Amino acid sequence: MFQGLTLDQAPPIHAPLRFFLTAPLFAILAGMLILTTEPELLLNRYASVTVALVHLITLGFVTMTMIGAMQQMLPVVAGVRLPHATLLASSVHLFLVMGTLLLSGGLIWQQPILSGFAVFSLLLGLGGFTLVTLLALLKVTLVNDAIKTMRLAIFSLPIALGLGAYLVISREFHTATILHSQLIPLHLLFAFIGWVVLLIIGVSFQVVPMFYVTQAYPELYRSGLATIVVIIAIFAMVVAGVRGGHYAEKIYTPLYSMAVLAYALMTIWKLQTRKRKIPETSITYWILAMISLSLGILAWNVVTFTGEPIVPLVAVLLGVGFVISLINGMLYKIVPFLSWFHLHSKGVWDAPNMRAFIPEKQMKLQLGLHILSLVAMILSVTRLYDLFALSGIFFILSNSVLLVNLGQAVYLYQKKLPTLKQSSL
Amino acid sequence: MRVITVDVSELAAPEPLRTVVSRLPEITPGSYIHMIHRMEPCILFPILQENGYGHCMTTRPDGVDIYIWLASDHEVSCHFKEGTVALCSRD
Repeated sequence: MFQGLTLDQAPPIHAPLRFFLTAPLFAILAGMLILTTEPELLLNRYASVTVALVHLITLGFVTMTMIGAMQQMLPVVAGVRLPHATLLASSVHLFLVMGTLLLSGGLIWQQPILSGFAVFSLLLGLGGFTLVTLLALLKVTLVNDAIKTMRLAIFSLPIALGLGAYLVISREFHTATILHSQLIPLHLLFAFIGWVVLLIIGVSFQVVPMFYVTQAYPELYRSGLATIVVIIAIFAMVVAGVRGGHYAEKIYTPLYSMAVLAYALMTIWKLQTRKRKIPETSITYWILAMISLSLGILAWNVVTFTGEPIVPLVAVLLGVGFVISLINGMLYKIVPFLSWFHLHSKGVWDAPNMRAFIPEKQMKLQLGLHILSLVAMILSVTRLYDLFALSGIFFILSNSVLLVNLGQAVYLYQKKLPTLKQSSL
Repeated sequence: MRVITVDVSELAAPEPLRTVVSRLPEITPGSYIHMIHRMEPCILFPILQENGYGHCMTTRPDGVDIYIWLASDHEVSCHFKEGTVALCSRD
């Protein structure tokens, strides 16, 4: 007799959830920093407070959710379970939280010792996670396109981490040489294109057809992407070694842009031509993310080739418009799915429908606040500097509602669990 | 041999999983499920293995066909293993 969705490979639900519930807290901290910092400083990409702000978002929100999602996705996509799931999740989470807080604190208060501890903590947490994950992924025998792309993303993480560690130490302990500025574009390349974009694309190959009933991404693109990315990366490294990082940037930026633009346009096309056109907040988030990605990539090329001072605009479009929007959209699918799946696996047959875990109305409210914060940020970094504070307020509100929404799904999950305990007595 | 056809090709996650799992008890000796899907349901395969079901999958340009039977059912197991469903690639 069939007893339920027993699945030993799935990690315990608290493993990914702790990452998903922590991420909005870091975004709220980032919003507070925007609210309390002088606009002139926020527009300077090299200012310590700006570097702190960027890392509160990229480590505290983006990497936090991506690591949580990977723990859940790897068993689904690759059929592998990360060993000691609870220990791994709790230690990586602890080191990532500590490392991000220490790094931001060290940069904001100009305390090199804090930054030093941050580097140590991040190397332990993210380095440990990379090692365990890569080892698990290398054992996979049936390698699909999603796994190939995810492997590359995970491979990029320690490179981005190592470069970042060098940049922090040399900056904070005043040992920076000419190499420092040459390595910044490479750190950005491996962190953004390598770790963030590749992982998002790899996950998209799986979740877009799965959750939105679309056709798969074209075979040629799925199978060719990993190879193309590696060839460009090797070429860029050689050019960087010979002519410097800034020169290499002019080679790899347009090449990667084409691959990324193709992904953005294909995703919009897939979502617009999906079979079941049920309006959903998460789809609006995906469309917003893809439009921001396309605009951000074009703006990045403008910066690379003309030197136009629009780096803050590129950062807002790619960081908030693309990455945060997409993660929001994905969280609104993943968290209800996990809650439903784990209830079913525990034999709770009357588990609520996935759509019932987070009411659509609340997601719409959060989307509205997110769009307001994005528009205010775009206006702030272009001309209307006085809107920075307002963008910070909207960003805090948006992420507070996100936290409430995700918390509600977890609450509903917890509420259903006692039913199981009573019925099994 | 009785075939139970389950077409989930136009359902969003988690409906394909929920639907096929709810139909598993219908499999009796001498019958199997033919699941029609648009993509490989990776999460389903370990569930089937852990709950005593055999399975195999064939691919089409626009999706996949998955066949599920009782692992203890030698007749149906042999039916697939001996290649009656010629393209079965996975067991």
